[in-house]
Amino acid sequence: MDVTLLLLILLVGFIVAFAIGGNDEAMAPAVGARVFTITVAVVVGGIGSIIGAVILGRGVSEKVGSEMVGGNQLTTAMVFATLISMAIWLLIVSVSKGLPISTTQCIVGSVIGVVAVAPLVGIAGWGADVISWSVIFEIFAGWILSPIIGFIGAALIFHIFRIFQRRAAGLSARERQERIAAYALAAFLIFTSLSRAGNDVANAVAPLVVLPEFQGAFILGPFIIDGIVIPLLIGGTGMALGLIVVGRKVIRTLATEVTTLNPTTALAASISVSLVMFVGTYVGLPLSGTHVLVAALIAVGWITQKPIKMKQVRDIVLSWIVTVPISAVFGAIVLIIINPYF
Amino acid sequence: MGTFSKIFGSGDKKLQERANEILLEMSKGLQSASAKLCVAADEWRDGNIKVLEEIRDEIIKLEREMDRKKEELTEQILCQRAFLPQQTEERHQLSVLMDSIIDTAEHAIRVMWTGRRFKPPETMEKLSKKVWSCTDQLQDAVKYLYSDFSKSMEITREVDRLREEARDREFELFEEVFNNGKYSAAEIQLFVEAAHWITKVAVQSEVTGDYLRELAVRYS
Repeated sequence: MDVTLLLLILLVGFIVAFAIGGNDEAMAPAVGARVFTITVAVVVGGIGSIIGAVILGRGVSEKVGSEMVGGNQLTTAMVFATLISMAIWLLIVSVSKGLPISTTQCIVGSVIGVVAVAPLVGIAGWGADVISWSVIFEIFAGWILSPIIGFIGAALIFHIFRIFQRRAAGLSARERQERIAAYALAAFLIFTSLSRAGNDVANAVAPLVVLPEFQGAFILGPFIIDGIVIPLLIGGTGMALGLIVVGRKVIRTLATEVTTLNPTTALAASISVSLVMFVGTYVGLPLSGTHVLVAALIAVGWITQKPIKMKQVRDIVLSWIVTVPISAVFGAIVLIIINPYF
Repeated sequence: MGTFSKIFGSGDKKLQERANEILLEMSKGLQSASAKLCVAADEWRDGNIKVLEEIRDEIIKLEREMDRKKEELTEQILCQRAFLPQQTEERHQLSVLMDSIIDTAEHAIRVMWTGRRFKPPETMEKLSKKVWSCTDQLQDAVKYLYSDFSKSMEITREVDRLREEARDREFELFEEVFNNGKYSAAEIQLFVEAAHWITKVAVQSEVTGDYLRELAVRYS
């Protein structure tokens, strides 16, 4: 492959990763509970993104959006149109409003747009009829299920936390609990950022890791570097920079503009998100981590009788609703623009 | 990486213990100031100006001492990240509220001293006693906050009740000085001012008690 084209593809991967990192809200509970300052949160999350992408992203085998089109593999142009349009919408939402949206939904919208418009740009065998609407329906059902399950899950877990909290009769004992929760939250979110990066890097660099250029090994002085590390490192670095440069706004929105958190409530919300996502994945429910987290934060705020900023919640829900159609439009436009170059 | 040090700083037991000691000392200090105020009201009525002056000096000295403790808490403990941010704010707020009670007591004794030539009605002494009871309960509420939320909340309700009784005494005093024609305009003004500031000690105690209750509710 031509070096210029290779660099261009790597640049696209980097930008997509940057956009994904910029909408990463995983550290928000720690900032809301004031366990981390926002700067420390994005730096720790950024380091976690790089390490997680390189160490845990090696199993990248995701075929972007293939499950939505009956297992057919999208053409290279379609994959890049999907990724670029996803990155555009993620960046717009993150930079302008700082709203947390689901990366999966961006992909769903983009794939619908790309597949629907493909025959118009001369890519045969595609069109709206190829889209697996049952899968799309499942994903849409996830929109409804994610917040409900997230809310119930967080409420149940926080209820268990409250049982332990009630054992503390005075301020000294309760504050000790809060300190332990602060340590646990910090450790838990660092671990979460590692595993999340391992998953998310797939969205950004999946089309790159299959390129023959990255199949071998590179010898760098005394070191032998596995070729796949390069796209993963670029993806991880992109996510880290996205989180540090753009991600602050999204984190701030969830940390301070939905409800008031303390270490215990933040830990309960974070653990419930992981558990709900784990169970959801196990039983095959298409849940969105972002939706579950928002619902979990509302749940703990509601139980602790902290005010919930409904205007902010309304904006977030609205952004979720418009994500699919807007991503679809972007996907179609980007495919029309880039297809002649492939 | 300030935040990590904040978390690890929260493990400094010595600083935490000292912070709690200071808050308890401040609660004792406000109770002591209020007790002295009660004695001062008695001595004022008896015309013991010399003793009144001594008590005034003692309360002023106590107020300065409490200011130093508050500064120690803020500058040597809270800003050393001895606690998590929320806990730091809560302690700071509590120290500010308790300090305001002692400040108010100082203001009250200065008004008394200003009117040392006058002989206040007996109700002034009753009012001071009620306020003293109020701060006495508050001191216990602070003490129990660390070990027993429900007991602390129960005591803060008692603080509320005593504050209401203090206000009743204040209006009894107003009734007496305004309506029996025994006092001059200057005396009336001075007694009303003194009663206002003495009652304000109870009002500030109630505000502090409310805050203790808020903490207890928040954490229990």
